[in-house]
Amino acid sequence: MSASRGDANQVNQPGNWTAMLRARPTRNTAARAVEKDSTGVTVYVQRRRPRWLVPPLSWIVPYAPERETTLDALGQRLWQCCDGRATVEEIVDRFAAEHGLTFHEARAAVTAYLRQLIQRGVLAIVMQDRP
Amino acid sequence: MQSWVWRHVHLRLPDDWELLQFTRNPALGRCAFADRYQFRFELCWREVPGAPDFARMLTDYQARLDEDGLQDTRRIQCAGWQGVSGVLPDRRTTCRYGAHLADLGCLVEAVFLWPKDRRSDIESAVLESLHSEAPTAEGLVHWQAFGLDLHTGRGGRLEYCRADPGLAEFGFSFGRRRVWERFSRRGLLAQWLTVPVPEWQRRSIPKGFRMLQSRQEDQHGHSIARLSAERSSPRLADFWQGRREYRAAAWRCPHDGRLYQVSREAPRGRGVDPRWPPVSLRCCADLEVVL
Repeated sequence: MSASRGDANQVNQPGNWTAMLRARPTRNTAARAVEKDSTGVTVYVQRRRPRWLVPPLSWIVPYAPERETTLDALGQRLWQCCDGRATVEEIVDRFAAEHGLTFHEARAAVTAYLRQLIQRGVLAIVMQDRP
Repeated sequence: MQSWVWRHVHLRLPDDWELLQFTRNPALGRCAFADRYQFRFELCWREVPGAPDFARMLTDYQARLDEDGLQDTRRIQCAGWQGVSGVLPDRRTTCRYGAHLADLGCLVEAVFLWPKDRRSDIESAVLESLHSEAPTAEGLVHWQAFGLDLHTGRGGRLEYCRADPGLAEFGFSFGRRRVWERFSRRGLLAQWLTVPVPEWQRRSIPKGFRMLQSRQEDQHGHSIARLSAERSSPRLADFWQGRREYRAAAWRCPHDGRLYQVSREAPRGRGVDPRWPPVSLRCCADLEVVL
């Protein structure tokens, strides 16, 4: 669960996002990161070849064995922080301190970025077991 | 404790309670504040024609809490406010207080949510600080939220409020949207601000406007860039309303490193109207910029 900052008419979610803060984002072990220059990192994630992609279809439909995700400076920092040990809360605290943001400003930014990276298969998230 | 002013209601809350949800509707709405783990406080308002019967209201509310399955519901009093408390099924305690702010003509409710023990010292401090803040004699209305501390003209309509990471922005309109006042506070400057502030401000001039003049001034260690612009090709309405003018001031506060901007877009005739007070934006205790 999460809570966005915004208009209560548009956003009205119940408020306990502790489970999300305690989760530990971790890098996809099947991904490889390549530092292209001093400001950016590109992460390549292996893709499974679809079963239907056989000749003659494969002669027409292009298939890339890897999905490429280029991270900007913020994404690169996030990638470095996601070592499987740090919780989302610790990452948010670090991000807030480094950029002079409040906790919830940083939480909104970090969780939005994490969501994108998880959707692209760059990161996975490990939820803490319920007590 | 930090101050918040929303819809003419002022209150002081613990530093780690942030505004997460808000309503722009002045007649009915709520603001919800949360610490890092959960919602902790809610301010609700509703315009009412007169003072309600509080005793009956609280009795009804207590009965509703009982129906909802809350335990140990009882009447409470704190800092002169009357309320009802109850224990939720997940062991959190909720305390709801109400008051009628006669000068605003509205009923306000302050709801606390305590995950562990109830802190009556915090409740007392918050409720003592909660009061109405009517427009000033000069016709200015105070708003304070998301790091913005501003005074805007009376009778304005809060058209939008953005609270994104590193960007807080208020936009008020007046007189059928002929006049706009905008206030913003931007962070994460290292990520996107690649030009000096005066240049950034020049680029932020609305489309269809041309710059008339710009200047820079120093105040209390802040370097403020000011500019004025006007609509380059007047439209029919400009002939009787006055040509549209855009004025803005932007600066970077050395204390929090954020970029502040206040701007007003209005027909030129309005700019010199003595009934139209100058708006202001404060970034820190040292500086309040008047436009």
